[in-house]
Amino acid sequence: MDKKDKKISVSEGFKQYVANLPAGPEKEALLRFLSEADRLAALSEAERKNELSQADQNFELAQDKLNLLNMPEGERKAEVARRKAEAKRTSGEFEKELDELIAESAAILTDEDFARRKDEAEAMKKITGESVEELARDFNIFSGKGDLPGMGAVLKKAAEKEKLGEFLNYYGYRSDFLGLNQLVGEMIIGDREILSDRAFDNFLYQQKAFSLAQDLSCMAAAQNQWSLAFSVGRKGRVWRELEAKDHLAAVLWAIKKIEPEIAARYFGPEAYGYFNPGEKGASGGGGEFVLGEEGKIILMLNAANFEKSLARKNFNPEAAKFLASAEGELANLGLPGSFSAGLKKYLEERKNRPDEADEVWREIKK
Amino acid sequence: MLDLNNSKTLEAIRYHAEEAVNFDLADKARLLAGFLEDSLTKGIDQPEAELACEEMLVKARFVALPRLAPGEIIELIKNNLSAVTAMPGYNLWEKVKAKLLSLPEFEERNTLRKLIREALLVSDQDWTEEKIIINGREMRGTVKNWLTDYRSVLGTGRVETLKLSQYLTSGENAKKLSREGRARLDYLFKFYEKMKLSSLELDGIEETTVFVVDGEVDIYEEGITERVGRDVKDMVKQAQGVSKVGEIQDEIEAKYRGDAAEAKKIETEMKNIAKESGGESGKLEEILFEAIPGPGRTVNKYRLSAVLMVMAEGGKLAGLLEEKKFNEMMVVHLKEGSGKAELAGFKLSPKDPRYLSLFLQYVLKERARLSEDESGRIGMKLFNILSRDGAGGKYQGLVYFDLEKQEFKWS
Repeated sequence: MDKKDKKISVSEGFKQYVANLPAGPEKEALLRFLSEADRLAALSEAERKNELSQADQNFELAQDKLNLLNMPEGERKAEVARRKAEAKRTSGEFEKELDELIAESAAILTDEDFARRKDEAEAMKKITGESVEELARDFNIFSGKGDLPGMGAVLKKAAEKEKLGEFLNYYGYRSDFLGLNQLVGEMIIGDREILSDRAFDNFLYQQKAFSLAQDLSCMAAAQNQWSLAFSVGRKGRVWRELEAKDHLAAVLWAIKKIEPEIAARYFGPEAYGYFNPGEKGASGGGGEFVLGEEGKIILMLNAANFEKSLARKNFNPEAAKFLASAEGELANLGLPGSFSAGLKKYLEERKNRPDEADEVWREIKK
Repeated sequence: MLDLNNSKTLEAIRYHAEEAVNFDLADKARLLAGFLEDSLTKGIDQPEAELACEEMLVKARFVALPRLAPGEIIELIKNNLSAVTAMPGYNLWEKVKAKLLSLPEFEERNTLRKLIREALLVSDQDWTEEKIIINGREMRGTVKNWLTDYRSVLGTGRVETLKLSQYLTSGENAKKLSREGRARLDYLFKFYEKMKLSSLELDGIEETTVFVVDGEVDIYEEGITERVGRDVKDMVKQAQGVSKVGEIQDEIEAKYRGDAAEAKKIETEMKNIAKESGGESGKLEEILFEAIPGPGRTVNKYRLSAVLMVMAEGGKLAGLLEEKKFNEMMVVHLKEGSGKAELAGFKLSPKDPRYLSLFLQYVLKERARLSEDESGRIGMKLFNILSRDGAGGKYQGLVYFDLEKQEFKWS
């Protein structure tokens, strides 16, 4: 059978996706939702319009958007053109709506995401915190009110300052994608049961929280903090936490595009691993920096080039310090002994610096 | 207060500025920029030092660009863009993208793009050494002039990559440039094209999205969806495999260490035995003999393990089977059991590690009734102690860890 013949509609695909979910509250809620959608579909147009809640209408619109997005580019363009032509024949109003729909599809975001972002931007203006401790204080206030945009604004502020990892550590989480997903799950989504009277609202709230995690991961990726990148992804139209293998595949896909010489210079420790605060927590002086699978992948991909960068004294010094401390792990990776030796030599050579360098830096930091 | 007229101080600051630029250290760059701004405002006497500080400030700001306010970014690009040509590897688009990602609202992002576009169009920064001819007049190769030419040739709409290449290779002005000059234009125009996109459009949205479809990973970035290939998946498996090796090693180490309470008891016994024996061989042998369960002697596995450890630590275990009492015990054991074939070999070389292994198995498993796993763990520890003196090879492989069954085994 030709591959195209196997194609099914998005709504069918979504139903199959739900059917294949493991039994649990989320599946039950989605099944209830689908059954409600089927019931509404069986109603007349007038009856349906009367019954549909705003959220349901949004969902229908979102399904249509997804339908567009899932099409190959050529098909999508043709479909958009067809709809536009049809719209011209019918009314200008429809065309306007369609343009809005296309814009939203393009952004791969729903109306709820737009609303969240708008509120986030507002909340950002209220944030006064600079340090992680101050930001955590702001976060706690928003968290107490169940204010998702407020919490999102604080997290984005931390991410903008390249302190998302530290922020996660502050609350006892690892500074990687798993830690981020844990914080989102435990501190933002919390005990909002998918199986409850407010199942659909809670489902939407969960989706918004995952969408926020997506934003944060993208900010981290832009700063080469690869252990924090790609925390969530889409399965069907639904945001999901990514499994480690999919997260790693995305990380590898991204870093393969980066010149090894640039990777050697720009990748700091947060590209290679994460800080695990342990039971004592970062503030208790506990924890350790751990070489993550992201780091292993980076090294497996670039070791030979990195050796050259080390020899040219052109390797990120903080990363060099961290990697030198993980010598045993490097041996497990099968990296040649010359790599570890290169790291040590480089760090030794870096001790030759201008006499006043340390003193001057202390002054600047004041 | 630092004196920037002092050459040594300036050298140290230059060192930190180079570090920040070379290794893209945004935090360091931000602190440095703040310090240099203050210093320049207060005034620096020596013109050379002042100039050096101005150059460092501009570069530091470019490194810390995502932390700057939109207005500062516009001014920086408009007035200092040529500085990035002296920053190898610096990717202006990636920096601006990081800033755009930090702005939650798409409209805000589009406004910044538009303002940057406008800043470029009026930037009087030199971009190429070569001059450019516009409307028959020879002019400086500034950002503004090149963009004027680019727009007049290719229009103000979006420009496809192919058209851009054609402009660079056969455009009247561009074709006269050196390779370096063309590379600079390529950098500038590609950045300018990015500023034309809208964050609300498919190819303009800054976020990269992962789609997991039927176990495949598709990644959507800047208008293009790519499926992650087999090579990437294989490498991920390999990396995860390496992690498993690490995990397995951790498990083996945990099994090897054993229960903490048990280790404590053995340690206490070792101290007692060291006191009782004073380290004398004869006394240690007596203690060992007494610790081996037999008629009238009950099992104290901690004491038995401890005395073997003390002997191993004191270098008295390797030659144990040359001692009469234990040699006889071994001969009897080999005669009685399935080890008759080993007897002749043992009589010839009782110090052979293989016989020490058989002796330990006999004592620990048959006499003390310890399991294969528990006795093997003790054996592994003893052989590791004996291996410290460079005799590793002789004792290797006598006990191993069965990964499948997760237990120690005697060979």
